[in-house]
Amino acid sequence: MKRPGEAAVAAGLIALAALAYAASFAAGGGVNAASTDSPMRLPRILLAIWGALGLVCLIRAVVVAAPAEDASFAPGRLLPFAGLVVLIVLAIPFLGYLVAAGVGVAGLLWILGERNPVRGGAAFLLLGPGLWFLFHHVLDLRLPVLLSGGMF
Amino acid sequence: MDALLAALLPILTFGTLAALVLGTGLGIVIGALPGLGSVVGLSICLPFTFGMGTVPALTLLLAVYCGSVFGGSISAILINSPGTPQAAATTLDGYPMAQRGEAGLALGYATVSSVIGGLISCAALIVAAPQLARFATRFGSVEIFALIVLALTCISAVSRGNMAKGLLMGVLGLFLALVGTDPVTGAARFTFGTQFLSGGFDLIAVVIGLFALSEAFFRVATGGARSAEVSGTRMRLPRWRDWKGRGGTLARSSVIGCLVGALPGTGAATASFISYAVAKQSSPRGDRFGTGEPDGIIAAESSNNAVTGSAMIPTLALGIPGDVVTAILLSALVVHGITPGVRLMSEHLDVVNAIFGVLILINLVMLALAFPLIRVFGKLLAIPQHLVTAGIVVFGLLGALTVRGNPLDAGVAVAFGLIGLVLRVTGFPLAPLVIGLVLGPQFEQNLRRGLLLNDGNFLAFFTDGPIAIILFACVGLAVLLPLLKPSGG
Repeated sequence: MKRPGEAAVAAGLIALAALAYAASFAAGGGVNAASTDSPMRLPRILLAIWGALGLVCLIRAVVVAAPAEDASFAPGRLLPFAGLVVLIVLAIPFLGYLVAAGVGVAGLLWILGERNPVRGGAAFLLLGPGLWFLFHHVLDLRLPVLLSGGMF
Repeated sequence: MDALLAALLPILTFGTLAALVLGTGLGIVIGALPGLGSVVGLSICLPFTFGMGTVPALTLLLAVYCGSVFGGSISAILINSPGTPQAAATTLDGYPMAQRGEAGLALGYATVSSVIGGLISCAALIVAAPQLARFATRFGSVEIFALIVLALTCISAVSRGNMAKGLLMGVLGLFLALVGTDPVTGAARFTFGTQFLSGGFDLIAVVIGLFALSEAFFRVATGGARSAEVSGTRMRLPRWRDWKGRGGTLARSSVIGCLVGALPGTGAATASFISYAVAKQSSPRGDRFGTGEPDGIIAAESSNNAVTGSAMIPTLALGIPGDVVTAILLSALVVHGITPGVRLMSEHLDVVNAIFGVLILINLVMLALAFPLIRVFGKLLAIPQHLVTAGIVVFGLLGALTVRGNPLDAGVAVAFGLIGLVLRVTGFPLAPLVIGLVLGPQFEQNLRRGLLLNDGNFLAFFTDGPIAIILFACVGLAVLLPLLKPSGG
């Protein structure tokens, strides 16, 4: 296999198309007896094209040699960072934006290697509570809050 | 004169002018910092526009876009690292000039060329868009459907990677646009019984995820961009006599930029390299290209900035975005209650006129802001990159959260951020996916209406009329031409 990563993505996309195709029948919205028009007709056509193009990509990934890589990709560095971003997003509906993002920004800065207390503190205040205050109270773009109708 | 006044009056408010100056300055900074680029810049600024009026919001986004295209030239010339892909051709002669001690003059050539290219592009937009929009009123469902297919095919054909990948991403985008409630029958499609998916995927959350968050993830996974050091530089504008014999390159490259920019999927990077190659062939100083020849900078910079206005031609006249930037601008229009499409120019002429006026003013403001921002460029480069990465994540989450006020949109953005990371690492282009998502609803609506009008006979689309026949022939050419090229891997 010449490009294993690309082949895995292509295979994953084909599997996703197959699942969606099956789901289109399970939903029961496929037939409109009164008309040639039906809500699932176009999605199924697109899923068929998606599957065919995915197959072409898969074959290319298996047959054609990969170009030289120009960036070192290290998923090990990414995992804690992406994991914390996911945690922030999961916490926002329960804790509100200020608490979730406030704690989260401090964690993100730490994971990214910020150890200078002054610079790190300033960045935390600006990116965490600072931006929350700007959006929530100055621009009046309401963000999720910890308590309904509460300030935070 | 009346048209010019009509264009300028809605702009002359404090909010719009502030958005214009701040956006241009911010755009130049974002463009000058290597690795960020126009799309990430727009994604970061999107949440600020939700609380604004339509004209100030579009002004901010256009200013960031135009500013970032120009800003890329600053780092290209001073540190041999283009801030944006659009400025890659500028490094070829800009950096050698800087090495010779002529960095200030090189920046002067880049600035003046950018401004003139941008203004010529504005003129092209003002002249061409209304004509195209008038012509587009003849378009029916079949023609609009054919146009969308053509746009997607062109974008896929010129995307990074091979055409199959581009088309696959385009189809994926179209499919994602269909998730939610069917607009005709009200049936739920791929919602899996959830209330959240019944409204479909929010375009802005998807764009923020695919471009801003995936950029942050990419920076972390690859170690990120390294800060460079550069001493402060003063820009020096070229004198009249410095321009002797260079006007032809400037005019020709600006026209090339306008023409390339109006084609879907091409963009400023393509335009600048085409112009650079043409200038090298036609300039009497062509043999000096690559050694610090100002004609090389003029060609690259006038051309890439000439794209900014002309890229708006299909966007405003037809509602067809040519690239991700114009797709974001269209999504901003939707947020402000304006439906993009072939009727945009007739139904919202005030907004379109304001866009014309704003684009002219941005280029003039860019010239004024270039002087102070170039002087502080060294300090901008000193901003630690990990703080920029954290900032991208926070602004991305804020943008996704504020667009509909739904916390689940932030989850969509993060999910698409991770998907975007995987796709970009494996060479699948993201632009066709976004364009497909933007055009999906129009694609479906016009296809179904066309089928109803033709008694369900899809083959009748290909013989519906001369415009449809020409558009479908162009689709065929767009598919076949890349296949005829020798394979380069």
